[in-house]
Amino acid sequence: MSWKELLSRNYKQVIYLCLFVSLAIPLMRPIGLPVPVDKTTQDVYDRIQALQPGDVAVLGSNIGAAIYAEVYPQYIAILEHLLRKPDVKILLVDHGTEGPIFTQKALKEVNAFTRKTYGEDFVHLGFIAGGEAAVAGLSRDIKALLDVDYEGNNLEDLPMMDDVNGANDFTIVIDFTASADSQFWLNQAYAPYGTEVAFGLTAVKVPDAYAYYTAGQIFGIIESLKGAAQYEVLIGRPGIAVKGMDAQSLAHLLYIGLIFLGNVLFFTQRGRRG
Amino acid sequence: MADILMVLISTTLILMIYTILYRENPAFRFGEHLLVGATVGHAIVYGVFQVRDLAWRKLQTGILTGDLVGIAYIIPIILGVLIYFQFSSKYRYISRVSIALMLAVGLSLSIRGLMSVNVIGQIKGAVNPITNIEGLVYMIGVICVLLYFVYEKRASDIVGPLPKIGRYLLMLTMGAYFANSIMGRLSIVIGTLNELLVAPAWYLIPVALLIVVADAMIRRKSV
Repeated sequence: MSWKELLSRNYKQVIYLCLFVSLAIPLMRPIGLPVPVDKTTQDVYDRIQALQPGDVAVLGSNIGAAIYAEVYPQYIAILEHLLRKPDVKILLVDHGTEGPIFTQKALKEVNAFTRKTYGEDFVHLGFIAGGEAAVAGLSRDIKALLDVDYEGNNLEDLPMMDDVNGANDFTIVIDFTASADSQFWLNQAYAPYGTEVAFGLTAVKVPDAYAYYTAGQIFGIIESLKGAAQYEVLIGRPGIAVKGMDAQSLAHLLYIGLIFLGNVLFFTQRGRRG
Repeated sequence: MADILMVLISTTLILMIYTILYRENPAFRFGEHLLVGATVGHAIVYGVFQVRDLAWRKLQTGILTGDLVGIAYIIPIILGVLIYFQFSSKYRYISRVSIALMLAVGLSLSIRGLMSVNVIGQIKGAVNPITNIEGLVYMIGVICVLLYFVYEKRASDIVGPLPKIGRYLLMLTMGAYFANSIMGRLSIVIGTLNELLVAPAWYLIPVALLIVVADAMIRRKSV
């Protein structure tokens, strides 16, 4: 069997194994490749850095098991940055049924309950059904939409909610998603109330969001695991995303090599056929 | 102990799902069905909680206090119940009332934002003053891509190669989409491996590999 015939065979399982190895080795022994920061990520960082005491940051989340790996590290990094800002109020809201699980997990991971006071510095509203109608209700009048937060506390009893009741009170909104709810915030908070909006997105959604970023309708984008790694570098808290970028880079090299090999085989076989 | 057990169960389920990379098998099917079942079950429970928090409690308070706004929550509850007439072939038409209302509310809510964000905002963004090379490229890109979608031969003849440039720009965009989806899929694998490559989870990886190899050998012998 010639080397060309050997390479022409279907090596699906071998390719998967190579991919596993190329991802696993840097995860176990990080190489420490540099992580250059994109302007889209830097803009989000700068805007949060410029928040003043009393400002309100809303974090919308549609994080579920399917996008956990890409978006959750972004959520952690942004939450950590917001918790470092003195007297900035954080309102957490979920657009998916799995959202509250990951929001609570994130709050515990960054020790929010010991660093800040629940109800005074941050409030978790939980999942609100209704898609765009829910976002419209949140933007118009939170207390008309909801009586209680995720834990079942009455909103009237939470001091932070005395001054926060709609998009007019929101300083910024950052939505973490892979679906259309980022558009909901643009439609219901940015367009009617002028609230500044940014997105934390999965890689597939990023090209769509660039149209809004270039037109100045959103102030920044955190792009997939790459954006999360960049944000971790900016806040000086390297975590799972930075470690993941080494693996990502090696896997991309493997992909490039395989594409090159595939093309070489294609052209040599075509040459033989004449 | 409970934590270790949780990690081992979740790792086993992840590895069962990953066996699809080797071949279709009952372990993958079990993991897949369990995931779908758990997700749907969780969503149903949340749905019930939402009805309770957003409507039922308000209706209860309304009835107790005589508040008309609270009592009016009976309307969305009835409309919600009507949707279940979808399951009856005889009375399916009743569910259309709720569906029509949902469509109308959805459309009217989104139309005001969509116009200002996706039409006016995008046009304003495209005609911004050109202050740098990015702005120039952006404007040329918009013109060329728009010209590509003008399917009129006389117009295409006048503008020369611009529609072709638009086509290449579209291809570049599709390339960006595809590259981003590869990056996204890899990120998902990396996220999963982050959970798998820590003790005691990773002890199960060689076990899974051994099972796969044994299966491959048995299948080879039987062939």
